[in-house]
Amino acid sequence: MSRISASPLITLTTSSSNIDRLREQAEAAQTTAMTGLSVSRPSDAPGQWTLIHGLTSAVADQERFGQTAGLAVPLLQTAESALGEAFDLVSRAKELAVQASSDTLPVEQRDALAAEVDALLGQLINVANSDHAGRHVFAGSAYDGLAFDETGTYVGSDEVPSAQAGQNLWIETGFTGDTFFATAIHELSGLADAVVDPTDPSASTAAFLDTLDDALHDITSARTTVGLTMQRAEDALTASESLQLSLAQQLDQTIGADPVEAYTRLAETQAAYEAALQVTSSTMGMNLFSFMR
Amino acid sequence: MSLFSALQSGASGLFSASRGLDVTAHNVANANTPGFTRRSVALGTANPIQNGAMWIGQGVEMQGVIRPSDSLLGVRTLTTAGATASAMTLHQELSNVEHWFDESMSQGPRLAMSAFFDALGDATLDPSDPSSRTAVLHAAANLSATISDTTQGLTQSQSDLSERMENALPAINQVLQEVASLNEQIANAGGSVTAGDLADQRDLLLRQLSEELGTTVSFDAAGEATVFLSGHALVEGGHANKLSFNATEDGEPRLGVDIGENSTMDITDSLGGRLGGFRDARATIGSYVEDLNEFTTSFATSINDTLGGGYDTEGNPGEPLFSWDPANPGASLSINDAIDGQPQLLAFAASADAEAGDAGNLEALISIEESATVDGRPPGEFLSSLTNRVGMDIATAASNADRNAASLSDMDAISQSLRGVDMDQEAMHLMEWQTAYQAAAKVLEVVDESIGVLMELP
Repeated sequence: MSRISASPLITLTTSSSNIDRLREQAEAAQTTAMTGLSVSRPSDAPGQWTLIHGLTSAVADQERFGQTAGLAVPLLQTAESALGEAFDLVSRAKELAVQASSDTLPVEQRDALAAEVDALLGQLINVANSDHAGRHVFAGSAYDGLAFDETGTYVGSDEVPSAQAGQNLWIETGFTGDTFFATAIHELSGLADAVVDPTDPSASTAAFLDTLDDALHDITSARTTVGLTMQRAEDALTASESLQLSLAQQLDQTIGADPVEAYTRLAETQAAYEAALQVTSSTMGMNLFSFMR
Repeated sequence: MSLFSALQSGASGLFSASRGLDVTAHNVANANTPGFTRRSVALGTANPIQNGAMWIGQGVEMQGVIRPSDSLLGVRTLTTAGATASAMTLHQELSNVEHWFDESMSQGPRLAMSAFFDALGDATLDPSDPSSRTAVLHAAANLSATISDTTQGLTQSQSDLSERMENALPAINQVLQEVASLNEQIANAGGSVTAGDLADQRDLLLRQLSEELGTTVSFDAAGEATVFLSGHALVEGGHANKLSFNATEDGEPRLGVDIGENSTMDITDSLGGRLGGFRDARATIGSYVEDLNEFTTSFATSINDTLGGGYDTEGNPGEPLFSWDPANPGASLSINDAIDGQPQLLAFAASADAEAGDAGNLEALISIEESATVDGRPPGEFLSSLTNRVGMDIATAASNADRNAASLSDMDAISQSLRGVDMDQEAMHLMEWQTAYQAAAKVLEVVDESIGVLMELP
């Protein structure tokens, strides 16, 4: 059986060790309460860093995907709006073609119709060269230049630009105007000549009625394509906001500290530390010598 | 039989009480002296003398001053002290490098790499946008600086640990020499009080050696200590073998013990204690450096190769983004001078036409984040695994240190219960010896008076 010792050395060593441990605990609790993080160093959560890194990266990714989708939407809105205008222009051209296909139309009115068709063609080329902040949405990947030159020839790229709006989701941020507007521009260009055809303007003009329908069909299809793309962008935006919130909550649950628990723990450890100091101070000098006379 | 015999007995009591007071005073005075072992007085009855048919006692005889010891407990305590010092040193040194992997403030290698891929992803919206390209260069510079700073910091820690091992040797050799010298003095002092004080001093030095090197000790019948390190005698009797330091070509520290005839025996792998902790910490930190080197080589090569397959904004073949010294990849990782500050040279386009929105090669760069490019794993997973390992190593070292410290604390408490000065007990001894002294003095007074009565008889 070992002797119970009141050796000042062992008392000092034991007390010092206990006080050190309590102080470390108090400091850790203080850090947790101040930062709101229960995990701030690799050793705080060994084995969990693949998860923590994955969540941290995923939160940043979703933020980025949301920004990309958010920036893609106005581009797509510009494209959709332009296609709407193009549809109206070609529809108007078809109305003019119907009028011009009449055998009784006076020459003066044919000239006026031809001039209006010319104007419509110019407007259509302008619409096909629509841009958002200098970015030509129908020029394909060569969006830093015009999609069509002044003659209505496509000078853009055959490649479609796209941006990452999800882990495996790439959204088109531009289109090849050639497939959208080529027919319409070609037909309006021909219509202007047909309206004033010196031999048989009525028959020449009537021949364009079906091809103008084809041009309208192309534009309608293009509007569907752009509309679907915009829908995907908006869905990506909504998904990224939702996922970002959900992932941030998961991350917070993994590395965050509950404020109430953190402050309670801080109060506990500080109280224990102060108590240990007081007890040590009051017991260190107490021994039988104090009571000898 | 005469009254003078009683006088002799009283005087022996007075003398023994006086020695008891001396020993108690010595104990109290050294209560706070590190390594001091309390002493106690061993008393016995003096040989009686025969007076006719009776044997008359002759008082008390002081048989010696006792210094309690338990050699088995002492050896176990030394072993535990060495293991504790080693575990605590390893924990401390690994904790010192933990901040390099502090990912909580987005400063560590893993999150710097994520930020690089985030910048590439941002650039997909407009690959020709100079600000997006500049952001990619900044993120790449931040990643290379983080990897480089981390590797350099870890390498510096390795050098510091080697230096500390080397710097510790002169003091350790001095202690070995002092132990040898004390061995001789103790053998020469025999069983005297002086030998006890010398043994106290030597115990302190043996503890110091154990904490530094993880040595063990055995004692022979003459009280001489032989200090061992995994079977190699560092001190034997009055002779100490000197330790020496060498470093291999790659800077690995090696310690040897002088075994005579100008030759040394390598004891590096046998080291325990603080130096063993330094050795282990250095090796562990070295494995982190190796991982960062592997990451650098595989990741940066993959990025550079992909860029080489693309085209910049002018349609020129891509320049490498990263450069490094193959002999020291992590520490030397930096942005290629040819591309630094020239974001237009980033080869995001897949075609030499280099249209503004051509992100074909940019997509290939982004796909590297999910590709098994580093040791058969995606680069992020590889770095997360490294952070996990750092955390696990430190947590394990902390656990070992706590367990060993608790064990050592228990042993120290047991040792102190045997050897330590208990102030309450010494106070009682003080009163005990004081009373014994007063009683013996009273006996002398009575005997003196009795003799006086006899002397005054007519």
